[in-house]
Amino acid sequence: MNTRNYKKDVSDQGSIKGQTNQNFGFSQPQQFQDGVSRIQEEMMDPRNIQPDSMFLNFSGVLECGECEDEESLRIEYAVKYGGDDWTYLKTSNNADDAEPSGISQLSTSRNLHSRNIVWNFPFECNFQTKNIFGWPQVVVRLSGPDFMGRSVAKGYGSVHVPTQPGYHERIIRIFKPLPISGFTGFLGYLLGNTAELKNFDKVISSGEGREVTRVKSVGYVKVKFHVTLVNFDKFGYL
Amino acid sequence: MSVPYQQTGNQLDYQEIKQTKADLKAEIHFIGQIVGGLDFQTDDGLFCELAIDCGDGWDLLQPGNNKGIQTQTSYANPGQLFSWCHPFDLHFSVSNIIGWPKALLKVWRLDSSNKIDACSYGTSIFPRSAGYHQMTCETWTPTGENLDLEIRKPNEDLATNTDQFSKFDRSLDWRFQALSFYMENPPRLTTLAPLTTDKGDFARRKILNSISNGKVIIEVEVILKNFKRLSFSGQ
Repeated sequence: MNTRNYKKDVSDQGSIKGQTNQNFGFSQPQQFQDGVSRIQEEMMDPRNIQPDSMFLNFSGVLECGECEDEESLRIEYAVKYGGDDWTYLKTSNNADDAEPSGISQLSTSRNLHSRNIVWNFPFECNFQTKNIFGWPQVVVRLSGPDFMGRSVAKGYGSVHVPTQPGYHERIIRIFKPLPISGFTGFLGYLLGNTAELKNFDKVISSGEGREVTRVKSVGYVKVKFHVTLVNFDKFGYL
Repeated sequence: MSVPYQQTGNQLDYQEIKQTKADLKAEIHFIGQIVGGLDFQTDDGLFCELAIDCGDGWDLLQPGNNKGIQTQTSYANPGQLFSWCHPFDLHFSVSNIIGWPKALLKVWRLDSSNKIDACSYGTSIFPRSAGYHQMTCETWTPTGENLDLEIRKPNEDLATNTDQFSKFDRSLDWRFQALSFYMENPPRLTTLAPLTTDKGDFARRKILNSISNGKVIIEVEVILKNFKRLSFSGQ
């Protein structure tokens, strides 16, 4: 039996094909009674509904890392995304959940032979989007005490969230901005004003305006990602 | 225009799957980072410039301007990575896959007197399948031209005329080498045409002599749209 017979030309709806607002309740003739539940099932089947946005849900752990000869470090992360099309979905009403970011504990390497510092810092984010451009990146900053105990930034880095669903491991390369000259570097070392990036999350995630900065590679951070994509196949991706 | 999803009483209105022409166009996203450089064996600072070369059927939708990427300047100890860490996000609309995008890389050197000069060149082709890829591009530095090769006719077969060739192939141009020794800078390419196969001047690459240099590492995630629907491979 052809279950699509319920569509007829509804002239007041204009020329939109397939649109219907008929009452499938009790005014239909008996012969369509069998088709009603199948039609309703078909309409409620999620595969038949075209969603209006895609969702990206990822969680992960900032696991461990090294930074040249540093013993104690804390890691801070922020997730930067393209502002217009992407929406960060909050999971709670806390004030610190307004933007996806976090600061970990201050951790120390275990002994003198290994510089590996373990944070094991978990994170989870939900995003809603209609466009792939502006895919989120995780931007990190490592900071720790200098020789006087003041907290200074020791390195920065960023990585894109993986685009394929499942489990992925990534390595974030960490770099540190260099002072302009030897003298400013020495003075900054004494005063605790080492070369740092203001608004590090905006600067590192966009890549604009970094042409004249000088940096040095200082280490790496290992990250684990678990990614789930929702509605991406309905939009033609995946 | 599509009528919004309505729920009236105990009936559900069927929401039509409205397909527009834009839904069936193939699109590609290259999302990634120029991570850094390895094995460059220099004490100077290095930065990388990336230009994208693609065919006519490729339309760069986002970002709006294709002015190329220039990374930060990085210093490294021997054996360490020159960390550039420059993220990029490219969104192409594809009407013809001829001319798959290539990254034309140019590595610059910033020496101690704050002077910049070209260090090396490289070409890398963006991956053709969805997922995470690590592109490693080996780069080369031009050391001179072999102008005697220009004397030969364009279609002459290399294999048949070995006498003339074997004599000239080994002669590296001493003028460029002397200049680069005293001026401390290698010769530069005047155009990026020898790097890409699409432009007409690629055939002139045969007159170049070059020396190997370090490698540039690019991590990229590729997202393909509608490739499977249009029966293109990769998705």
